[in-house]
Amino acid sequence: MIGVAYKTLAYDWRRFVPAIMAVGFAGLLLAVQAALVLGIFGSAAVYVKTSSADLWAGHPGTQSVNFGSAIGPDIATRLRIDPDVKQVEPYLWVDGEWRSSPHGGGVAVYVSGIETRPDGLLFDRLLTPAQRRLLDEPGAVIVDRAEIGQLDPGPNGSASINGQRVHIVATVSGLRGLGGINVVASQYTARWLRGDADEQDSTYFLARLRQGADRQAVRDRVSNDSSFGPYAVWTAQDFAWQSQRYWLLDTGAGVAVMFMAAVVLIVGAVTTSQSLIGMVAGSAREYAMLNALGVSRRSLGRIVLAQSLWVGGLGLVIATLGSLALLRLATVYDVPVAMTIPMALTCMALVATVALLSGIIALRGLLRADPALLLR
Amino acid sequence: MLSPSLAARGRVPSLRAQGLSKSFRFGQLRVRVLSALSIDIYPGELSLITGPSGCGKSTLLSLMSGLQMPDTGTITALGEPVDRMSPRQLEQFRLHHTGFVFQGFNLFAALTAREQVLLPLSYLGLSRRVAAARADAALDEVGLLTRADARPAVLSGGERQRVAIARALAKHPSLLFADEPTSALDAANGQNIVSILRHIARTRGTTVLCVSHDPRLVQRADRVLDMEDGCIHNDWRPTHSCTED
Repeated sequence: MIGVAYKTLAYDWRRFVPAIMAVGFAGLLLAVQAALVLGIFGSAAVYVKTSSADLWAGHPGTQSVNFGSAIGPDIATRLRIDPDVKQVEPYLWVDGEWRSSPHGGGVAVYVSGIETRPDGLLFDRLLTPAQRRLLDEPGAVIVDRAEIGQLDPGPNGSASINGQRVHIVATVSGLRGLGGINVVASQYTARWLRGDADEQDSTYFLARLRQGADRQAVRDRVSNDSSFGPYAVWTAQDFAWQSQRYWLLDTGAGVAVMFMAAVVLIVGAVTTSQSLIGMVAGSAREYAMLNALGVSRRSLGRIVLAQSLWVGGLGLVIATLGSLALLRLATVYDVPVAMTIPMALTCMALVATVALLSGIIALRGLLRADPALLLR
Repeated sequence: MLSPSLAARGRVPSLRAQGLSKSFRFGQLRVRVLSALSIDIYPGELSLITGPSGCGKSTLLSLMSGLQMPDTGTITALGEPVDRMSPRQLEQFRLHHTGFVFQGFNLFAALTAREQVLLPLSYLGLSRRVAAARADAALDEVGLLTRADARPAVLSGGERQRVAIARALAKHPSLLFADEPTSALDAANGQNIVSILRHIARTRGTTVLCVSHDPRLVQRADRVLDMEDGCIHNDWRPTHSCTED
């Protein structure tokens, strides 16, 4: 079998460049958009993902981590009495207003009050034990280095939250959240910033389970014990997904993103198919000749589809290389991007579908390949 | 000049058209191109349909080859009713039995001469070795084996037409249709192409039906069908054709 699709593409590659670039840029846009979605909306669950807790207990009906409400300290007791629970710690969430000078504008911040002991669960994938120890100093806070510009702290990293003096003792990367700037402090500092240092309530309780324990079974066991007041327990994975889903689907932002993705795909398909139709039409007489010699239209269609798959494959290479370069650049500049293998494979499958659909649309170009038109 | 019926006595026609009519619509106007035309074409000879532009000769070729369907009438090719075949059956019939040579060479720019010839063969289900042997034999027959690896861009017009003929020949068709095969060629190349077509008819027993208004072909054809206004008004055989080749 002569690979007429490949040979034509290799010989006359300039004619195929627009179609290949159309597929490539569609793939690039799709991948970057997906990476931004994963990065931005994934940051809604940064608290869960950067912590090694297995279970999260919070107020029932909490849609996202940042919407937590106070729950009583007895919940921690309920968690501790389960034989599979190894460690429990409180997490206090405080909404605050950051001011770098008394007369400057305020910036909304989310203060996370954490346990500062070295084996603390919250943010243990982000903070070193040494950084945790730094938070023992009253008023000490840690922020994401990418937020420094927006926080604009004074000399020695000083500022105020809710009117109380704080100072930045360390910066980290990977703490950026959604809706506000994350500030990490000790439980003591967080309560002090809230203005009720003596209260014992908490926003969440985090639990680490014994090795080999069934998270789902423990979750079911410790959930809905009404004698401890209203609370709900989620596995870390469920709570992370629940927080992301809220931002992605319930806020309308996700719908807008998906709409944009659909537009990218449609534009990619239209551009690619137009280029392919042009190429098929350009070879209409040769295809008509083959049909006159008895090569079926189905076989000719296969040549066109093979060509579109080549275009799709080369476009995919461009999209992959371009995406890798752009995502690398984004990471260097602390732009919130993330990519997972399933998402990358989904993007590739969509790009391949665009190429195939374009090929199917381009089959219309074969209608011009009527061998009777070759007669003078 | 011999009478066609005398020359063909005792032979079975490979192509038979009976009562063919064909009209085309141009806007509101309907133009009848062929009118109740009947003709028998025989194997082993070069039959030439000639006549002025618009007389219907190319339309007759397209109907006889199954590229188009008649409005009325029947066409029998190699004993099979072409006018009653489905599009799929027609493609299969053309694949196994017919070759075409058009005025335009219609070669893929990306393929070498050998690949142009191999391409239709690859749909016949031949083994790679047999197909390659057939392609080289066909190129050799038209005198182009030494140029087998050349692409159309470096071939002359005459060479391109010979590649197109090799492409048609390699299938070993029983029927070979040629539409103005020499129109785009100079005198020497035109003569060469005609010789090849006639040689194929003589040596392989192929039915070669050619449409042309090139007077050079008339002198070399075995049989000439003069057309005018959708009818054949003269069917004759040049006497010298019996003594050549």
